[in-house]
Amino acid sequence: MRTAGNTEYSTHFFSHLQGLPVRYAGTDRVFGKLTDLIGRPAETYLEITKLVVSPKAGGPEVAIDLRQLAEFAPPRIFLPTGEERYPAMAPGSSEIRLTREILDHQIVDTAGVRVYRVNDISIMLTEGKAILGHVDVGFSGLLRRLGFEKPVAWFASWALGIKMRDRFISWRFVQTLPDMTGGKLALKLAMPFRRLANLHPVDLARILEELDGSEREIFFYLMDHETAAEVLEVAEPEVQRQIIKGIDTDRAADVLEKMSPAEVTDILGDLPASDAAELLKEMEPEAADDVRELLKHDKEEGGGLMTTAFASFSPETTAGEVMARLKGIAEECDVVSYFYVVGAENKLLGVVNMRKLILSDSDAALKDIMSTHMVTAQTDTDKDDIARMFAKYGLRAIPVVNEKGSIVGVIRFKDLVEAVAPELG
Amino acid sequence: MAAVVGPGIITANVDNDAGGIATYSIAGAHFGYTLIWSLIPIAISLVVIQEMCNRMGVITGKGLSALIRERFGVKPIFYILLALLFTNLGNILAEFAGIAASVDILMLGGSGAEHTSLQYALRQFAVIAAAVFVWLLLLKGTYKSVERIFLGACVFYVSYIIAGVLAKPDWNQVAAETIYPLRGLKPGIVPSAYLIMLVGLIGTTIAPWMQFYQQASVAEKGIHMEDYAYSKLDTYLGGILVNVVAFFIIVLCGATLYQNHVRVETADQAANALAPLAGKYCSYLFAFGLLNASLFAASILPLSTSYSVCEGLGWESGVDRSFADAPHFYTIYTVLILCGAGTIFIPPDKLVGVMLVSQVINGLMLPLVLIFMLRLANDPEIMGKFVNNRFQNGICVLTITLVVVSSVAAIVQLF
Repeated sequence: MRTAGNTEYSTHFFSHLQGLPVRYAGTDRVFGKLTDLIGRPAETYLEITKLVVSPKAGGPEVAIDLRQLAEFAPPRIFLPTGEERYPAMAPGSSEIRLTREILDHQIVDTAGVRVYRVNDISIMLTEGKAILGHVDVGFSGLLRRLGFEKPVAWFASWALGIKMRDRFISWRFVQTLPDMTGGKLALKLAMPFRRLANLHPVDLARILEELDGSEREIFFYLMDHETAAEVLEVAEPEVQRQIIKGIDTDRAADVLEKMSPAEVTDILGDLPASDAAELLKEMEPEAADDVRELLKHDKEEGGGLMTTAFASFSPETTAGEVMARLKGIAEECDVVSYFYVVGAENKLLGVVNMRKLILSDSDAALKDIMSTHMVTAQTDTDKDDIARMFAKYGLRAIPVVNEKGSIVGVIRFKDLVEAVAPELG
Repeated sequence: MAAVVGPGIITANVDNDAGGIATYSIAGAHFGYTLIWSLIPIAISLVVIQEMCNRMGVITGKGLSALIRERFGVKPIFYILLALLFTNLGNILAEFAGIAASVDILMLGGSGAEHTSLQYALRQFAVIAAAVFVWLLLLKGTYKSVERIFLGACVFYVSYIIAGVLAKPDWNQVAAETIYPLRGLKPGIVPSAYLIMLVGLIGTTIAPWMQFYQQASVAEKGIHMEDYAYSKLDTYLGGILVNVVAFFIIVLCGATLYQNHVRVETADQAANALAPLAGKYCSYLFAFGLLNASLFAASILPLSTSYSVCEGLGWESGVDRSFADAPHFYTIYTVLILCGAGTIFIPPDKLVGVMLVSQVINGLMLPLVLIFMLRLANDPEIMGKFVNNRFQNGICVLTITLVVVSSVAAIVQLF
């Protein structure tokens, strides 16, 4: 027993608690042995509420409330004398069973942004409460479970001079991934996901890539549509495809609507045609039409690389009018560094870049400030030729025009890089 | 469909590795066509078992080692992985020895002549080049490109089919002895030798690494239940292909070596012995097949082993991670390949001992892995409505029983 301030506490490893005999107080009679613990999530910790005990007399495992115990000071675990009946473990409970969801399972360390498999769990006893404070993801935890911790630690320090250190993650930073089986997911979804809310989409995508298949889908379900869309945009193509196929069509469509049409086209282009058609049907008609248009083109050519979310204006529009609409453009468009000036039938007349726009008088018409020296691609221009154009002119985006000279889309540098050098993406 | 096919066919073909080819050659050389019948039950058992891991991979999206760990805790998976590491190390040594042996045959043409120093250097170089190739495949390849290379390598197994036909076997006799194996047995064949050979055939065709590898690659590919029909087809096709190739190797050696009373103990002896009996080209084809198979398996086994170990012990793994992110993964992979390439410094007769031990561990481990698989595949909490049916359970239990009985019998014979 140690003290911190005025409170007394002791810590125990779950691996040491497992298998301890549960006895009747005042006698040496054994009721059964402890096999598992059940916890309930609280603000910053998991409170252990019940013990799972396998009765010595045989029969199914029973759940014993911690408050029913006469004493819980491991290795001393005593039941009140006389009490013989305890409820059998109820499957499908909304509480967390340590061996089913934490121990040996994957968790996300939201502080270090990594996925770990839990080797052991540290339980803290304080003021009559049992609290899951830390999970052990280190090598020594693994050795402890195997029963080799002491000899290996001794050898390491004796022969190699290495002191083995524990690797704990505080429960505050742990995001568990609920078990999807048995239809329990709906209940578990109420669990807060806020621990992940502050992570960058790129980090979330990396976590997503590290998780096993079913955890991956659960993790994805835990995010709101906006976050999910951002994460999916930066995930690897293989992971994108797996997730979109794995989750419900409704949810997939909701997420896809929030993504850029070019990205959606890349993902759907890799799916079987029937799956893609089904997803498009579920999406908002406007977003779906953009994607359908893009899907017609070869992925390796201008038409397949471009996005249709760009901003175009008539020649008479003034710089001030465009400035006033910048916020809306930034929300809806993939391309915000260039504004395209178009005439009848969307014929491309010129382009105004952001710098020019900011520096111009607000009443200047776009036709007077636009540049007419334009580099354009066709829908069937090969990606290598497009790459050369980007390199030669140092552009951030290149418009794509059809045979009539009408603008049909814009290729962003980012989409080109993904096509010509996917390993850098 | 192309997105689903691959894991089953690749796993099955890696199964016909250097060790597999050696076993089939010996079976054909010592017992003629009389063991061919066993390929049918072996194929059924193989297909049923592989389909189980395939299904588990599709439903859970997890590899076998993660699933065993999550369900049964760290102890069972630790010892299983330790055993897997040893048997796979034995297999990897055999693959690199197979590469060296096949290069020898291709250079010396089965003449049995001694190496010139240039030829000796070439042979050593070939093994080191193979090790570098295998190592770089992981570092530079993507999952898709690697899978394409592997599927391409599967095509070269056709060399055994051609070699089998070139040997002009008496097909009537092949058919007759497949149906009535006892009639084809030469007098003087010891029943216990026949049984041990049978155990060898089962052991070489149904190996634990296959379950780990196939389930992991199905999970990695992220195949979903709606595409399961194709995935199942992939598994069945793989299981049949592996036995077709085995059939032709046995026929080839049965038609030539057995008829002429040539006894061989290794694959390269078989290849050399083929030259005077079935012609130079037949021998070359055999050696080429051996080279392809050894290189193929040498590429997959270190990767699969490293992946399974890291998955089970919770270490980060995967080819798209850097060394700093996944040090255990790269260390295990590299050490396995280095050990494999190290075979060029070990005389072949010393290698036999290592491989024998690895075969024994293999035989003891298979029933254990199968029992865990059986529990997992019958658990509705994991599999939902896709739990095993009675036929699958029956075949699996039968296989476990046969493997346990035969392994015990074989071990008793050995010592």
